[in-house]
Amino acid sequence: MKQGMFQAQCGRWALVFVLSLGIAQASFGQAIVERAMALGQAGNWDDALQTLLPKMATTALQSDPHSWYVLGFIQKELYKTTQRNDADSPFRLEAVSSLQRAWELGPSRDDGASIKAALDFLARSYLSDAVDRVDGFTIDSDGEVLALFGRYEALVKTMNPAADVSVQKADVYRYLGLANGQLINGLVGAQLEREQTLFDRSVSHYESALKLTPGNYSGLYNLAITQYNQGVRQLKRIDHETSMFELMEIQDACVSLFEQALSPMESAHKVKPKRFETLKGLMTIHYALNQSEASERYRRMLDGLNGKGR
Amino acid sequence: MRFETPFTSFSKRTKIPWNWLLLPLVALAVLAWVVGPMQQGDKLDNTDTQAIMKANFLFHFSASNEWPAETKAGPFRMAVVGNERLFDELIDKYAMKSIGAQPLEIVSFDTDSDMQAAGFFHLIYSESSGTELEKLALQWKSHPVLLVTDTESALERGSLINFVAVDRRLRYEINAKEASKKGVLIGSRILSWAVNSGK
Repeated sequence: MKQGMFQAQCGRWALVFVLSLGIAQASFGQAIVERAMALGQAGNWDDALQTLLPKMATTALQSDPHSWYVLGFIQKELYKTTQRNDADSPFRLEAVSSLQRAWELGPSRDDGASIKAALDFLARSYLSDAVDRVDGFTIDSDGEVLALFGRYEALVKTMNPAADVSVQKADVYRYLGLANGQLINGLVGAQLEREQTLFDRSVSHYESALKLTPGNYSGLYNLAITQYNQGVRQLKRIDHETSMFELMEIQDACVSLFEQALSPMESAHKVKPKRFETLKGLMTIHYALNQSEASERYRRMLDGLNGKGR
Repeated sequence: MRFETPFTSFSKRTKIPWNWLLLPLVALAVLAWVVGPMQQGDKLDNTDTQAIMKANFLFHFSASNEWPAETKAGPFRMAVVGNERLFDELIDKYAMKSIGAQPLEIVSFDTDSDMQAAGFFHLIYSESSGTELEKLALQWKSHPVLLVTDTESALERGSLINFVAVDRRLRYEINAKEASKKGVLIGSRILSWAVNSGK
């Protein structure tokens, strides 16, 4: 009987001990978080990170959304203060990861709103970086732009799985198509391989844009122009050293490109039948394809516009 | 917690304006700002594609056919009538190139009649048709002049080489027998690419 009472007593003490330990750990964890927050408030983001990060593996903090939120916030601030111009900023990636973890763990209402705001900021920073890369586009940086936009898209969808960014994505693809096309114009001397690569990329980007936003006028028109201009570019290489055989080969290649250009230009014309540049495009493509009647038909339509739509 | 200014109240959880729903609008605005002006894209290349092809064909017609010996003194003279862009293309890429031992001289005219006082030409490209073309052909009937045209039924009207569209491509038909009668021997390479060399 006494032995039984002793065992029950021991059990109670063990329970109290375990609970106390848990409380102590939780308090310890809370203290760490509070300490990190205080350091952050003082602007010591590095110290704040060093205080909190090593303790995140502890049980108390690992499953605490608030701790992950504070860690993500610190990492975000470190990104802002030290790696703002680095598109591959590790702090930004870590901040996203921490904040997403906090979100998944079910944060409080207030924390939830702040996490959304933080992810919103980080998402916009990715979009901003993508736009910057697009603005100062350099050769072969397509992947970088798309990766940055991809991170933006992923973040947006983290917070709102139903979010649709296809219009923006199509804009990015369209611009990449345009940027590659413009790089071709900037090539100095005969760089045929490079030219073909840029042309293929340009077409591929426009096609990707059109998959996202079928019937988009700019996408259709720019694709047609890119294909047509590439054909003209081939023709311009013809000179006194071009043999008859080469001439025929070049003509075959050009006709193929002009034929490819015709389809999107016709689709663009269907979208906006009164647009001057589309009618001119159709007139020009048919002329290049030696289809004088069709070319004349569009010329008459252009004349009929009397300059409207220019 | 104010997000953008964390120093103010890190631990005090004040509510922030929730701008998440505005994100797509902001993003669109940023993209539109950057991409908008460039939506129009590349400009259509206004180069006259047919002129490029024709110019090279005319150069080959000059270089790969044979004219009588009495025409081999001085420059090889080519006249272009009624096609300024073709003339520009020829001047740009072929002027003063050699046709055998002769430098290529290219002259432009607005009409066939403008050419009358300009002397002999080895090759005349004219855009005339109908009776105008017949008149031009008659004028040079007894001379070793290669008359090149771009109009329907031109061979019947005295042209020796006529550009035609075949399967969306620019090709040419030849009246080789008539050319031979005038003393211009059409080269085998030129004949081989003609769509109709039987006449």
